[in-house]
Amino acid sequence: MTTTHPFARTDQSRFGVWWWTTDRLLMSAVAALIVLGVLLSFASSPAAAARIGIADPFHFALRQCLYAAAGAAILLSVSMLSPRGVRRAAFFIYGASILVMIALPFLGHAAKGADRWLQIAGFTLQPSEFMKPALIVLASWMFAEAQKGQGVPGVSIAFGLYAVAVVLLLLQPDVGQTVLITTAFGAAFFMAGVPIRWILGLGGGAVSGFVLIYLTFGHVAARMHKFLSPDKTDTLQVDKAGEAIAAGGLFGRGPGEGLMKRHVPDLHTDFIFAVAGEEYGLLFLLLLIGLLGFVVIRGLYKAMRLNDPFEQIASAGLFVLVGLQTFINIAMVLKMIPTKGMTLPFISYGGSSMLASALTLAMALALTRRRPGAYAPAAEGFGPSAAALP
Amino acid sequence: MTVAPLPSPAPGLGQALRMGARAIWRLEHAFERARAANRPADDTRLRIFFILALFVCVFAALAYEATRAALFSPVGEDVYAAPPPLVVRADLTDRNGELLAADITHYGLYLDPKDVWDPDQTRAALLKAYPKLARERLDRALAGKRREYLAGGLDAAEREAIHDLGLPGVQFEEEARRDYPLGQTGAHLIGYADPSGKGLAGAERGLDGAIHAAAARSEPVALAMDLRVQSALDDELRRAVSTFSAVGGAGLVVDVQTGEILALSSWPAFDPNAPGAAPQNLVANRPYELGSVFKVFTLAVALDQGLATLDSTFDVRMPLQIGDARPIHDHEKGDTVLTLAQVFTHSSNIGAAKLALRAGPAVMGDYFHRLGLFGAAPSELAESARPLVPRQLSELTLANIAFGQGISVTPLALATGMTAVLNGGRYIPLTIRKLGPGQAPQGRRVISEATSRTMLDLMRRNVVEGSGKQVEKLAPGLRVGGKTGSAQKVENGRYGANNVSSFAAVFPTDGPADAKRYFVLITLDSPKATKDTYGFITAGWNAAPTAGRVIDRVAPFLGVARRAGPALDAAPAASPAGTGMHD
Repeated sequence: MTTTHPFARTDQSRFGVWWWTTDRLLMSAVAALIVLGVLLSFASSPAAAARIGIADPFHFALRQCLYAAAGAAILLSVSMLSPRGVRRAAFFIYGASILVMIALPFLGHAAKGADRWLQIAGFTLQPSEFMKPALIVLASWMFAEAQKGQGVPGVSIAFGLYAVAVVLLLLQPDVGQTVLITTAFGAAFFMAGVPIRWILGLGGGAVSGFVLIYLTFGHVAARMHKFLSPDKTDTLQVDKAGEAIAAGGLFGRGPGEGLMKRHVPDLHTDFIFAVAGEEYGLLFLLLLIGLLGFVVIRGLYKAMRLNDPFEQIASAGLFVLVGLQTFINIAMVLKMIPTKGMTLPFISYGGSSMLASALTLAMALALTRRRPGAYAPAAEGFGPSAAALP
Repeated sequence: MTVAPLPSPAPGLGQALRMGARAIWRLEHAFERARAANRPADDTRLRIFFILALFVCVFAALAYEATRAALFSPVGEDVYAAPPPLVVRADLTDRNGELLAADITHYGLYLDPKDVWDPDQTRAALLKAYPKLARERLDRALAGKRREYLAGGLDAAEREAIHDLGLPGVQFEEEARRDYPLGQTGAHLIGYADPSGKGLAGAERGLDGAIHAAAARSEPVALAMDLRVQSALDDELRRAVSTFSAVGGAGLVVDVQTGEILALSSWPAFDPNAPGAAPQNLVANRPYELGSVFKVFTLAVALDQGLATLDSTFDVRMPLQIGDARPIHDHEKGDTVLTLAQVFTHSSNIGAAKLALRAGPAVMGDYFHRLGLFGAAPSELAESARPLVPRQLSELTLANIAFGQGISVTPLALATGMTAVLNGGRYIPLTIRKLGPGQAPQGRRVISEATSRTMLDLMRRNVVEGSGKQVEKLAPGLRVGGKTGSAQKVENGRYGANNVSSFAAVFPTDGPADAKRYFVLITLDSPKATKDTYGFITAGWNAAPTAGRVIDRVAPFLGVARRAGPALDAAPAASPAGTGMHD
């Protein structure tokens, strides 16, 4: 009996090559996350819509479906790129994002006290979300170039790119993203082989930078105070999030049975984890943590075994970005760190978050695809030998 | 690394740029050298592995914290606890904590036509599950655009029957509704409240503020009522009204020493759960000419003023003629000269009138005023009505009110005045609220304790040998005292054939001035003669036996023991033979 697989192993079409070279476990985990995000948006959408006064209860859920479709398209198309294509894409995305961020104060859509959003045809986009993965890819490229010692001042260029991004983020002001890209950038620099002495120095710089931010930006200080002395200040969102998760217990209160989403603003975006816990319970939360953790750790494992320094650093940096964002969001909901405006990749409601998460993962998948000589020999212990592919 | 010597001082932008460029160059080479020197080829791999390990820890920590938050954190009670029952008004209880009224959560039925899928099916199913539903209202709501209120007061079972149909667009909202588990029992004393939670009658109205305040504290409000006494009084009064085909009846049981109303009955009664046009509270709201029971007051005034002693004599042979008014007659024919005690037991109108005239309008008016007979009885009951009193006290009106004619007071006002005469002489407003120990008011003195004692003895004597004889048979050993009163009823502006029969009783009559004592009043409006009353309609034949039955039934609850022995404890037994029923 002959199997009629849709893509034969010998299929040399663009899609066929993509299918056989992309890490299908990572791909499946990401697909599962997107589906779960849509599922959760159906639970949280009616309450969020009712609170804002939107008549259609599934306003947010339908939009999330649209974002999910767009995210899937980005995942598919970008993950087909070659490492060189990824670099090019990152270059253009970084440039475009920076330009839009510069222009934001003039054409931006101020919401909730910050100029972060760009409104296009009824949808709002947050350009800084797309800048993050692009910056990591470009910085990794520059670190890799600097390693080669061929006269490219890579470290300086990388820091320059980083500095431009941070200045623009702080102007918005968006301290959460600043912390995120600083940490991810630092991780990339670390992985590129920076001496330990430098790490200590840069660590000191980061700490003093954070102290400076703390002293300069009122709302960051307020959030810190809230976190450090929870009795004295209003911590409605975090408290209610904690109560929601506690109420959910092991199995949850049941789909649609959550109450907190009706009482607390923004639960469908930054606090979606609490909604999930209340309605679907701890087992579902562990599934979410497990899926995201699997993506990050398997991604880093793949990155570790790559041969090319740029591919190593860039893909690892992108997975670190996803991991950090996951950590900051969940840790915030669980009261482990102060509140930050940070979405949970693929799960939180929002177009920018979904598309940017898709872009990040797509670039990472593109870099970790199997190509001849891409992986250390040990990595090819099973499956088709890389040499079999042209 | 060695730092290059700084160029000779020639400050300028170009030089600064050059310096910057050189610094960057050194930095870049430092990175490159560090990277190249003694590094294994997989240095980046090692570092990625370090970060990978870090993330393993991070995700493990997240899983741990999530588990802790989900399984080992307190659940907020405020959001997840079932909503507290909707209580607007506090529970009402009797003095022993028996429930008289409570707010029970009921449900309002609403229909939102926007969500209705199939109007015909919804209509049919709703009407089948809840036939009480108004058809036109339902049709209007189904045809309309807005959410409409269909019906209120659904109980839990009715709500469930509709809810289980699973009809979209059919909704419920909780509403508090007052429930009176006893129905008619004590209805006029308990009263009722409207659906919005406002007290409209009885204690519900009189104690409205206290009931709302107690609801906020989740405490019940206790009435002075003793449910056992109340139900006995209700029962006997209803039976009396029926037996004697009376138009209505009023009954009261009062703790003489504290002024607490232990029972209050008015017949016809009603069900406070569906009050409709509730019948009048005849105790508090209806002034009657109550007749000879007023002789208690007249004699008390005379004795208190020292105008007569029990042995003073009165010539009652001739009717008393005042001006050109109708002469005042006695009902008992053939009496010649009566002592004061006999004036009471024979119920002599002439004797009472003569006493009042002896006291004079100023003294009589002052006493009646202080006994509360010239004003509405001070009471929590908003129904308490003003009396109809003579515009001025002339000789004639004075002589009339001495035996209870020409003055209409509510049974409640009469009871308040009687209590003052019987409790040692202190006027205390009657209360419907339970009083704690030591809460009983001292009241203001109206007559002396000695006069009060004498009046108790006189009333006891009247039961033993006067118009209250039936009572002694019905309530043996309870040392009951009392006075009858049968007044011709004013109908259409003139005295007609019907009368208003009353019996004002007190028991036990013995013991010190502050001994436990209870006052019982029965008033029957227009009782008819029966075979058993030998054609009489006077109080001795109807109101008095009714009071006797009530006393016989409630005495055990009130802790009054029966005592065998001489009929009269102290009063001299100077009883002329052949005295019949007096009025």
